[in-house]
Amino acid sequence: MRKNFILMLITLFTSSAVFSQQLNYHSIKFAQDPSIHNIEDINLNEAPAIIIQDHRYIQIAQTYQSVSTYYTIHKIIKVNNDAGIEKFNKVYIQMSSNDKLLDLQVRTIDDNGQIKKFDKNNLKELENVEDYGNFKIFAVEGMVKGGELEYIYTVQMNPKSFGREIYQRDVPVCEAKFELKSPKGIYYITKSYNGFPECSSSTDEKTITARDIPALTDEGYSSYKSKLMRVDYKIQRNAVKSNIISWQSISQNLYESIYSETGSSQAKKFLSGLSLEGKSDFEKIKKIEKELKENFSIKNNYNDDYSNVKLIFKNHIANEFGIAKAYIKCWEYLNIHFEIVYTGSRFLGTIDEDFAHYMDLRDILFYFPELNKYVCPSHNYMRIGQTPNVIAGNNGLFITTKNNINDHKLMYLNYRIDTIEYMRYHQNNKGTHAIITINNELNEAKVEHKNFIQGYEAYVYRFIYSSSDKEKKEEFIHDILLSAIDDGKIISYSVENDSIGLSSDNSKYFICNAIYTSESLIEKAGENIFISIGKIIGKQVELYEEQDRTTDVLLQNAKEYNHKIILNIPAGYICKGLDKLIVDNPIYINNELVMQYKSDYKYENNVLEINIKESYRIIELDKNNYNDYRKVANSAADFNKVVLVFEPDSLN
Amino acid sequence: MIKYFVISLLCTILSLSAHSQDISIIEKSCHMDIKTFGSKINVTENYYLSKIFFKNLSNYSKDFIYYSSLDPIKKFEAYTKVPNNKGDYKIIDVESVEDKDVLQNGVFYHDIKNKEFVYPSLNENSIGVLKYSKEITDPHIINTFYFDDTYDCKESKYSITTPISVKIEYSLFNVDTLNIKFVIDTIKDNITYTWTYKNPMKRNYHLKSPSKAYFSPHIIPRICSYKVHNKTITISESIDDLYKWYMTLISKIPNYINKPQIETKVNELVKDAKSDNEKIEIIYKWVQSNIKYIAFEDGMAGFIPRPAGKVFENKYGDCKDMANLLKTMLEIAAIPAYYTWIGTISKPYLYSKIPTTNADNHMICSVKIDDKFFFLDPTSTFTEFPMVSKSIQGKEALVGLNEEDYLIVKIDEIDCNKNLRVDSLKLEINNNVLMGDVLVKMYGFEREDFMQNELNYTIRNKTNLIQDYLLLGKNSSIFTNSNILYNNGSVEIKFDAEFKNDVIETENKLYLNLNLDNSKDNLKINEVENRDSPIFETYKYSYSYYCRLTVPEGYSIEFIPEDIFVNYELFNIKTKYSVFDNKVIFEKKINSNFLVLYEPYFMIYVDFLKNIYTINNQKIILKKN
Repeated sequence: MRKNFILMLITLFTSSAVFSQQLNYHSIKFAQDPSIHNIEDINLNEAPAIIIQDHRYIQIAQTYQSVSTYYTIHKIIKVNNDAGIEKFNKVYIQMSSNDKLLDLQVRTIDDNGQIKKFDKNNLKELENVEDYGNFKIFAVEGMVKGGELEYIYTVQMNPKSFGREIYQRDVPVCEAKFELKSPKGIYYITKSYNGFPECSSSTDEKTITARDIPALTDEGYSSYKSKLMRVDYKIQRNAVKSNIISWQSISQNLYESIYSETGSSQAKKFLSGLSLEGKSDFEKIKKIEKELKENFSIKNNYNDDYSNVKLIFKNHIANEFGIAKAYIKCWEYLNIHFEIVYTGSRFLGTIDEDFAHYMDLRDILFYFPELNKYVCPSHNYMRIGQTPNVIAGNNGLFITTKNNINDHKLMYLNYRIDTIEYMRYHQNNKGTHAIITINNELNEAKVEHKNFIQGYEAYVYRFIYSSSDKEKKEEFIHDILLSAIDDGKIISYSVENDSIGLSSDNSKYFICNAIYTSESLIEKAGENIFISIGKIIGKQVELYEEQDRTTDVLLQNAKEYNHKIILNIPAGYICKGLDKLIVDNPIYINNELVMQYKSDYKYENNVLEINIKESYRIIELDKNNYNDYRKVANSAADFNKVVLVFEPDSLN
Repeated sequence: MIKYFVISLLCTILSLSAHSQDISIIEKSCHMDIKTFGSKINVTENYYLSKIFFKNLSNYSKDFIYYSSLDPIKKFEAYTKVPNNKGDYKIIDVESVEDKDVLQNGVFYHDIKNKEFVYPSLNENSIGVLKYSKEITDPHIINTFYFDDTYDCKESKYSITTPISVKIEYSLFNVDTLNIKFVIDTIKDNITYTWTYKNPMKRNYHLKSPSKAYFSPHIIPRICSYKVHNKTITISESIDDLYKWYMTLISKIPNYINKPQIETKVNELVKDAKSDNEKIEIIYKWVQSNIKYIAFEDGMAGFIPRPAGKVFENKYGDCKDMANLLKTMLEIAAIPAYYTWIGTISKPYLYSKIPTTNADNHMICSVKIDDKFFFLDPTSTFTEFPMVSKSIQGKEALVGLNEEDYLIVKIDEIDCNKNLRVDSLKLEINNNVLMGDVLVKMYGFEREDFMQNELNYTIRNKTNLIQDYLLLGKNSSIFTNSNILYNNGSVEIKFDAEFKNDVIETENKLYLNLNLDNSKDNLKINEVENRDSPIFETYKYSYSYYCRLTVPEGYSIEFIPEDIFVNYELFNIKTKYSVFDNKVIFEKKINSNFLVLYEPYFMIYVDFLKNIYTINNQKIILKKN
């Protein structure tokens, strides 16, 4: 699992000493004389593997004056085929820097009941792997089809005041167990999600057992991870405090950790070089963002230097946390009113307002209420305005701030949980305008093609285009305009509004104009001519494969396409096969149009004009509407396959 | 909805940061310094890199270098030269440097690490300077130097300084047309060789490129021998030395365990085998399917196989572990088998030219039947004896016959006719939809690729394999009642298909394309014309397509397209239309008979592709009676 960088930093400061009671850590041992589990359910045996048991024990314990969490996993996995072996014959144990692997037991049983114990000398270590941290890894010894793998390990770690255990995965689980023991006087609470049973046990010993968890595979277009059965837990109260982890306390903690007491003079010096005098707040923010994004590097490392504001302004290097701190010093100095937003990708999960928790706070943004705009400090391709499309539409924890009237020092004000607005479909408008003419020999098409792109895609395109050299730019134009045309030859092209700064003004379209020729668009057969006109709009998303959806549909963003294609039909020919051009596939939910593919044409004076409107106005869709959604998306994919025929005009 | 290819493009750009005008290399160089102390030889590689940053500084400010226990970093220095107003530079040192383990695709554990850092305080026109030294812990293993880079570069330089008592050799690759200046300097008892290359072409990556060793200019030096008190100590003089060294590593394989268990297994496996060939086949298959390939590349341990008994028990191993177990099992069955070193297709070298570890990267096992060698690569799970695996075809194998003797044997490239796919479709038109029975047979690497994909699909919970893999018809087609048959040497897939979106209907005509194959045209013209690397196919293949359409009642055939025949030495395509009673038959045969295709062939390859596009567009016309 990729590390949640913010979470790692939070964990370090929230594990304050709220623990006092003595409790011993109980280790678990293998059962003697194990044998292969006999699974009778045929469906289960068709899976690559079955998790026979997945038991996890979290014990908060005090030993020798220090508090630790002992996290124990005991798993038994039966593998049914080669894919099952490949899935489970390598084990990665993620370790944080202070974690200790206490007790690793691994054994396999082959289909004859022969037991093979793991040679601990083969345990390897990986340190400081990019984005992931440290691991202990091993290859499973003696794993065969029909055999089983069993392992137990305990990791001693810093006391955990909250956490998340996900049990469901892409293979079935027969028995899952969650057990959390805390010292007397310290109470944890849990909340289960997606059908995982709720905990009913006593306050200092929480146990949940679940049986027969079905496999859930990632169906795409979904927040797969957040749909898996899981339990979240957190400390609730100790002898002196209750409701320890609340949105209130989280907000204050986050504020305190992200506000830097030092660095004001460095921020001042940095800002003085940007000639901001007399500029509006919007202009100031824009300038600061440009400077920090183009000249400061983000390196996700816990190195203190990278979150020390003084050093960040000196070295131009920061981690995600540090760069946010630097921005805050700038806003503070310029007295710009802003809010700090903690949120994350919709595709990874959303904040549960009723269960305050750090787990879904993955990204830091700034919100400027007077401007109604966001700045996303760690997304280099974005500019002031919107949030990345995977975040937009999610909820976020908004921390409000204000500058103290006396000393202008920034202060924590309050918090709220609110939705981050997503760009409406008509703000994410794009399309193709093309005029196609066929040469006199009737073997080549010339296309005057204009692509206009607004919104999210424009931000990405500008970022790529502006950092490409001449060859890569041309390749990029090919990729955008000619994705479905194999032999397109660009005669000339130009690009408008490619400067990355324009991404803060959504009325500006990124525009590519090109004139190109293609022979493969045209084909003769007998006295007839064909034109693969659908290829003009480029390769389309295809959702032809039928799926029994189990999870709701999440879309990247709301958007709208408007295509206009004009085809000059050679004299002496009549265009046929036009009925395919009339399509109307709308989806209404509660009488409201939410998606649509609509195309029609005009055919006059040997000119064919095709108009297509394709829109996706929502970003979430009930799984029961998935097939309607497929129908809309596939309409565009079907158009991409349309070939028209020119038959000789018999009147001529 | 437009396909979202750009996001992945964005990721590539962010990670590689290549192909940019935002940054340029001023100088890159490596100096290899060889010294002798008594009977010892010390080799150090001193690297220098300076680059100037123009724009989008944050995209390029990170840098890293790889190292391992075989070439640890001894000295490291990096700094930024920030221009000041006086036309001078202020030096700002890199203070934070991280050592990181690297996850490498397909390798479970290795000891390659990254030293990673960020150039601090960058401004426009700042210069990043990186200097470091690597100690070469074993003089057999010397790094390759590539002159070019993924950025523009002003000057690239490689040099070697060595005492006269040390004999060195070097081989340059892909430099024939380049202007590389070579200078030899002798000062007292030391010789310095220097290669300087000004303004090397930026290295671009294109679809279907082979490894950069095929096209990027590089030098592979080696230390042949050195003299101590008139005694010559050889290191990498010839293949003899390489083999001797390999044998010392083989002699370090720990003691044999589990011997009786392996013997029992072998005897059980071959008890009914009637010939040596059959024994080989059975044992090979057993290792391929029961020992899982898990790659370890752990310093010098990466050169020494684990004992066969251990691999037998663990049920996994890397290439040399699997080769060693296979050799042991074959020998138990009284079949002489040999350790065999080989470079995979990513290493375009000959042992005679590069008698060092630079020439190879893989170990297999070979056997000799009737004076002919057969090469068994147990890491290639679906390869069937006596085929060789895809990645070693056309390569030289270093076959270890015994402690002293070895042979270099050239393995043939597998001919296109062995990697054959045969499609036959029997179709009709119902309600203007083209539908019918399809049978696809795959042989050789076509068969292997399918089976490998099938496994990967199961591992990744993906469905729709047949449609994704065969690429017949448009993706909107529907395949039902599919059935896969696994024969010896082939895979057969049968299914019923409805090819949607493939018939155009007008008032009195039907237009349709009988070529429903979309599988072999994945390069576009501009991707061929604008490339500076060769085109690489993982294997040569032959494709044969047969489609028979029964003309629907009430229709007659108005037009069939012309036949096409394009015949070049390395690739050809032939189509034929014929009419029988009320049936139209379309046949197509493609042969692609190359692994690496160089620039002189690009023009005719474009012609070949254009013909493929034409065939993909050709239509027959049926007319209402």
